[in-house]
Amino acid sequence: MDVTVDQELCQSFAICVGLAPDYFELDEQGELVVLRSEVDPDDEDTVGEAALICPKQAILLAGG
Amino acid sequence: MTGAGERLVVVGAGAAGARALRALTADGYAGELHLVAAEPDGPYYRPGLSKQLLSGAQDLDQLRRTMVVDPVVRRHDSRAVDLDLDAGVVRLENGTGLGFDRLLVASGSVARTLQGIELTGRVGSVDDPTQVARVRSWVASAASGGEVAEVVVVGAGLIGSEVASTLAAAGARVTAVDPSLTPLAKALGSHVDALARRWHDEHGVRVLLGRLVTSLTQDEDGVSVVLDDGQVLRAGIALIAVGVRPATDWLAGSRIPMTSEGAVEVAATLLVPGHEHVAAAGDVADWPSARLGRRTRVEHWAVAVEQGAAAAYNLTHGEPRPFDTVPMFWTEQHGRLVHFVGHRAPDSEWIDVTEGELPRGGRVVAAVSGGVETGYLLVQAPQLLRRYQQQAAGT
Repeated sequence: MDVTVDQELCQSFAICVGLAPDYFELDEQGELVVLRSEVDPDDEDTVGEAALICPKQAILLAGG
Repeated sequence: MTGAGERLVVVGAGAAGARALRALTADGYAGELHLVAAEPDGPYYRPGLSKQLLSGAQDLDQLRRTMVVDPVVRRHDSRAVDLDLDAGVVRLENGTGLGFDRLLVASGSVARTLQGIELTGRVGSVDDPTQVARVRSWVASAASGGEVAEVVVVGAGLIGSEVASTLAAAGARVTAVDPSLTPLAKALGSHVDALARRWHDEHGVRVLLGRLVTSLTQDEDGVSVVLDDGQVLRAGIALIAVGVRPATDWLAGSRIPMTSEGAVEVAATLLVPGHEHVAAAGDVADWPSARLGRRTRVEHWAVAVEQGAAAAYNLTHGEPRPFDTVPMFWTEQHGRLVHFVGHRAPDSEWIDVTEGELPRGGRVVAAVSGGVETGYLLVQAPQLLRRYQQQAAGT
């Protein structure tokens, strides 16, 4: 499974950073950065939860 | 946990239901999974109605992307109308009788309405995607024609306030009316309530507080909203956002214990006492929080997601775990990101605890009760969310 963030939609609410800090981070400018796009099978549930919660629905999952 | 040979039914395709089904499939639940989805064309991200859909940032198909149901789940596009606990059957509006071995009640909320006011033509409800999309296109076409759309928003609570700010950003002239003098205090605390009033002011949203709508009529040219002080507001369109109530009419007479406001009374495990094959999660669940030391009910997407996972686990495992959480809320008002983590009381004091200068004018304000910081409000400070989540969890 791959994770991407639609930067047009993302407003850096950062909910995902709290849920899955191995995958998402805010940089010094407050912009969201995807740390790794390939999701470990063990993390699919957590990254899926981040996508479900995201206020801007900007986290997209594909494959897997 | 295998579940082989049994059937688990989830009623409700919102945050709690979606999360529960994902947890069950990820956990390898071997029974049949069924989802009862009241949305006519399948689930979508409901908080988006007052935000993305109304602003035009995303359409309904985009709001469906994260809500896709796994193909192993059998979806029933209908609504639950009755529960027979003895027979173990949920009856649906389309006539289906759906037998279950385990049941998750995750039917969420329905929008309250104003008595005697029909939702047609120029009067819409914020919980109906068709009506929201119509308001959106009406405001947009006025703006592109060089005109200003006038909108009355009935209700200035969390959703009404978001709606007003979204419409103002789209170029509409907005008047919001609410019977409360502090309409945001219940959902977000008195500090945000005061801030939002200032932001509405700065963005030209007129907010009439302590006023009841006594009549709302429409004609060919617009709507007339009459208030209890005799004032008449004239606008092109009116949008109703007067809050929600638990969508639990289908549980009436079922022996499921209910609170006076129509929520399901569950144990700390989110299971229904005496009927441990039934759980409730999300807006419908009234549960005892050990952290708070009392029963509580939270109407927020993130808590519903967490409860969906917890209820799914407890429904299908021998040793259920008590659920508790440090609740987190968010809202966006006039382009400002607002988060709140932790707890607050009606008498909480709000004390600015911002350290140094934050980008974008960010502020951190603590809710203080009995000398203890119980929660944190972040205004334009998402980069500090994780830190204050941890801090709130430690108190």
